[in-house]
Amino acid sequence: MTGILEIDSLSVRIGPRGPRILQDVSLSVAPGEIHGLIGESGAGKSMIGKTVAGLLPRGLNVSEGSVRFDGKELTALPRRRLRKLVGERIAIIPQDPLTALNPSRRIAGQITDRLVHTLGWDRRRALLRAEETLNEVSIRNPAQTLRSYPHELSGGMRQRVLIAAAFAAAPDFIIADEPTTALDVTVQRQILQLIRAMQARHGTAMLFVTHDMGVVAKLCTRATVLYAGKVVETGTAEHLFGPNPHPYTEALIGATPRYDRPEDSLRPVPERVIEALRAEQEATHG
Amino acid sequence: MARLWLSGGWLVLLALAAIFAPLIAPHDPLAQDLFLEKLPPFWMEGAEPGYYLGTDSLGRDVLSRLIYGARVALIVAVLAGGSAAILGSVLGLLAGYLGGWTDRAVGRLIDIWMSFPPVLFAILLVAVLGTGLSSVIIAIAVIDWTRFARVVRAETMAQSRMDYVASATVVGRSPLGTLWHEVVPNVLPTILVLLSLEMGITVIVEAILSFVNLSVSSDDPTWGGMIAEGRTQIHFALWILVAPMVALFLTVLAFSQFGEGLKDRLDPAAS
Ligand SMILES: Nc1ncnc2c1ncn2[C@@H]1O[C@H](COP(=O)(O)OP(=O)(O)OP(=O)(O)O)[C@@H](O)[C@H]1O
Ligand SMILES: [Mg+2]
Repeated sequence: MTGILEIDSLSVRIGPRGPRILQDVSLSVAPGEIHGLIGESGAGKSMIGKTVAGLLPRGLNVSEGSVRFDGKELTALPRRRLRKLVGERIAIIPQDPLTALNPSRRIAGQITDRLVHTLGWDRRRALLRAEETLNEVSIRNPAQTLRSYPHELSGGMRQRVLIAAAFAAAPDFIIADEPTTALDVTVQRQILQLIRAMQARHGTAMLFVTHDMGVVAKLCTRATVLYAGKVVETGTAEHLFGPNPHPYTEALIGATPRYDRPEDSLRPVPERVIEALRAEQEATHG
Repeated sequence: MARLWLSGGWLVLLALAAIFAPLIAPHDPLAQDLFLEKLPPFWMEGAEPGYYLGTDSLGRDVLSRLIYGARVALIVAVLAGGSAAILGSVLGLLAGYLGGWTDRAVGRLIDIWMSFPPVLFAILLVAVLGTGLSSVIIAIAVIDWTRFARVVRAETMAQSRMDYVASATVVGRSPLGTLWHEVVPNVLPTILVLLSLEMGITVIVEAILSFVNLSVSSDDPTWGGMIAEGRTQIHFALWILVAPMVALFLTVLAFSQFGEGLKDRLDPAAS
């Protein structure tokens, strides 16, 4: 099977000889699929997204493995070419709508940036598209929203704006990095529904980063479970939530709040599961 | 809010006085008249009509000298403060945004610079450059850029970590374009606040330098020069000393209050 994104045995190191933040990570996202990427905080989920987008922080480098996007090897591209390709074809829905929007620029400019600077549209046409897309994400007054500054919008509205900005340029691939974590619960649900609806309408393949198994259950066809920079398992939602997932996956499911059964108490991931997983990872990755 | 208007009002008034000094000043600030020396201000006994704030020991009109002195004070505030702001902000922006060796170099330079006591540094510089207004301006800019560079560098670093800066580079902006469009607008309010505070400082420094006779030629009216001269007459004609001190105090206070008011006003979280 060839996916639109194929990550193969990827390792990312701090410095040339430093520790590995990602080790031997492989995953594949099929066209039109929402692929979940799940793990605890610090597991390296965001780093995978950043590697694909060419946004690794200074000092972090791909040391081994490959990242192929639509058949092209990204790790071999010079930074500039990578940025250009990402700008044209990959969009990011970031985690925190507060730091993702520039407080001193109006929404209009921020939504149209990609259309104008990367795709070379003229401003008028870009503004029309921005307005259309804001309509699509159920913003009632697109014209007024375009004229607003970020602080004039609620958290949920800002995230809608960012979703619109991601879809406006009709990308082939979207990386959503915990796009609902900063929002309160009722808004989270609306935003998840919106992302699913937008994805269904446009058929865009998506890598959806989350630490919430509940979100994986609702949204994803398949998911990859990550622990300490290494893949625990990849599987379909049926497998992960079925009778025989990896014990760590099962423990993650147990640690997820259920809105439909709030009386259930949460079970933290047990020590022995972590220990078993560590031993297993030692054995396979050395 | 009130302080923004009050301090701003005083500064506007001062600027108008400085610009239109020849029209406003009741007398030639340099004209001496020994028959009219040490006249008291208008509310005291023995005052002469037309000499509202009295005259100094050479019979020159204090009010006119104050008004012309405002010229020097504001020219220095704008040019020296502005140059320090531009120099420091550019270095701070580049250091904070580029990081790496640029940042280390600028950081080291700031540390070295800040280890000199500023007033001594200024006196030393003016002594080397020769006295005069342009030396004063250059000296202040060369010394005080660190005030801007330090703060702007830290803020730029914080800004550079924001997601919108990362996405701007993906979206196809050049590094300098990103710096200009995404970072500078967010750092600008801080620069303006610092500039206002800095202008207050430059007014004091200029006064100190003209007090020790290192600024403009001693004939030209400056507040510092007037204070130096008034000091010798303190027992006979207190107003000669008090008038420029009040002008200096109010102006420095106005700059700092304006800066503080601006800070509250420009904070997006507060609005
Ligand atoms: N600039 C950096 N330099 C070195 N290490 C880093 C840097 N940024 C992150 N890390 C480390 O990389 C690891 C993975 O970070 P990452 O942000 O991918 O985690 P995450 O799975 O996205 O977690 P979260 O759910 O908290 O977002 C963490 O252990 C973190 O400490
Ligand atoms: Mg993350």
